[in-house]
Amino acid sequence: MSADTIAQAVPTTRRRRPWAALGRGLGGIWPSALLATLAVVAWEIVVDVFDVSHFVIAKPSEIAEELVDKRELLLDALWITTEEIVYGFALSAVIGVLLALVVARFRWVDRALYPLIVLFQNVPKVALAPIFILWFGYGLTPKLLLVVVIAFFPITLNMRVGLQAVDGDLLLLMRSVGASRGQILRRIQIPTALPYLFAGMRIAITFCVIGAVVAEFAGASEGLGYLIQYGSTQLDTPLVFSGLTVISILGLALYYAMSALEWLVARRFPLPNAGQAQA
Amino acid sequence: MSATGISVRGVEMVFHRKQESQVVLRDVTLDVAAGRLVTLLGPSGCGKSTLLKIVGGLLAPTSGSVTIGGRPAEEAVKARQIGLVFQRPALLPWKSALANVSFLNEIIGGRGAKGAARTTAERMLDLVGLGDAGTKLPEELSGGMAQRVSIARALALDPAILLMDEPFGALDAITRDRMNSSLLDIWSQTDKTIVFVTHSIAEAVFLSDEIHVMEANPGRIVETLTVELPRPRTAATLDDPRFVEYERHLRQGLVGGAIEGVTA
Repeated sequence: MSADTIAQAVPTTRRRRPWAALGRGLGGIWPSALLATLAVVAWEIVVDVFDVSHFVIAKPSEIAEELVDKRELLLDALWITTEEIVYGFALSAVIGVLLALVVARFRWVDRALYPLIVLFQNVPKVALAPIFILWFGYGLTPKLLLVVVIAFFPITLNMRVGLQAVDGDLLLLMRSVGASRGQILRRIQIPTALPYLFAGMRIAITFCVIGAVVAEFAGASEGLGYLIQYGSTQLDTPLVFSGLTVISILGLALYYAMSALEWLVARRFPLPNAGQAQA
Repeated sequence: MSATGISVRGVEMVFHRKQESQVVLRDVTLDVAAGRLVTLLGPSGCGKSTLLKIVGGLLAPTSGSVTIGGRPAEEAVKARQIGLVFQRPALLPWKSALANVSFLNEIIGGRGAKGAARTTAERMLDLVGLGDAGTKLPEELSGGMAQRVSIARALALDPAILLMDEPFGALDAITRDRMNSSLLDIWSQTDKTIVFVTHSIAEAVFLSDEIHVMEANPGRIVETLTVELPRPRTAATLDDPRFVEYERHLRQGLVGGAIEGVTA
């Protein structure tokens, strides 16, 4: 979450053989799937054999049972948290992109604002959660605020890099025919920046999950984060673990949804060797 | 459109970096007659690309003047008389070859111009020998083909003057020879004035009506050589004793001189 965390996410940009690429991606999953299955089995066995108290850790079988038994509770909480994440992400994307455009368009804004944005990155934003709760109560607002404050930055950062990654010769050509700055932005800079933007959004979506859960920890009456915290105060370890499971699956699903969206856009705007994402 | 000549008078270019100032071009004067193909030949850092940008009105000289068809270079840019080709093709990777060629005309003409721009683009792709590659994306083109597309893009503007900055410098030797022949072929079908920057002696001799030899520190023209080889030039031109003689003369001036300079 800090400015120097580098998340590697190279935009995927092939156009002609996308299905083959997708097939390779899925084919590549099975070693991980096998490893995960082995880990789950080992977990079950270890907890059984060493007879670890179920206050300390829940067995996979207990978690599965809990997931079925408390499905309505979990689904309600899932819905609340998903709402926070999706709205928060949408807001982050809009704010992040607008900020990048303003910063790219006006040099003086870039000079004045950008160092401050980077500086702000060093504020541990998780610690802002209690303040937002204090200001805005237990509702949706403080959650959205925390999510946005955490997630807009990788979007702005990557979009800004993308807008500046434009071929200098192309800019000369555009100027040689008297193209306006707006035309250069629309016709060249924004399409060039799209793969960068999506790489940034893929990072942002995982940050959004963190933001929403932390905001719920700090003060909420519903949601998966709330449920996990409630479970821990009640020593209901299976509930904690099932909440954790649901939130992890949600995070994964959102990440892959972003990747799918990116893939669709990359088909329209293929950009070989686009830069690495930064967060 | 009739061909247009270029006149460069006493151009100086000084770049200021921190406290230091570097003279990139000193007192450059040259004339390019309308419809001719002229090269600027010299080693890296002799300011030939800078001179090309100044001629194209993309860079203002510290002092001196450039006129194109009797008018200041900036006006020629506004009148869209300048076509540019760079070392790298600089194509939009998400657009087809055809769309890349018509792109600039679409910018100039707005939405209504798209049809006409596409028609022109098709003609230009034919001219550079890529008539059937219009739907291909840049990543599907070889280096030579991509550079042909960028030449077609420059020609599509129908500029009076074509400025080419080491356009074949990144290509392999064989492709480069082919591109040189193609360029002469294309040029003979148009009435463009071409200023061509290169550091290849053979390329300069093969292409040019006139070669301006440049040296660095400060960048200046040290010799102007008129190449009196018959056109059309072909593979046979390379065996012409005069070709060999021009090449030898230039090599001695550029390379031999430097070696003498070091040992003296």
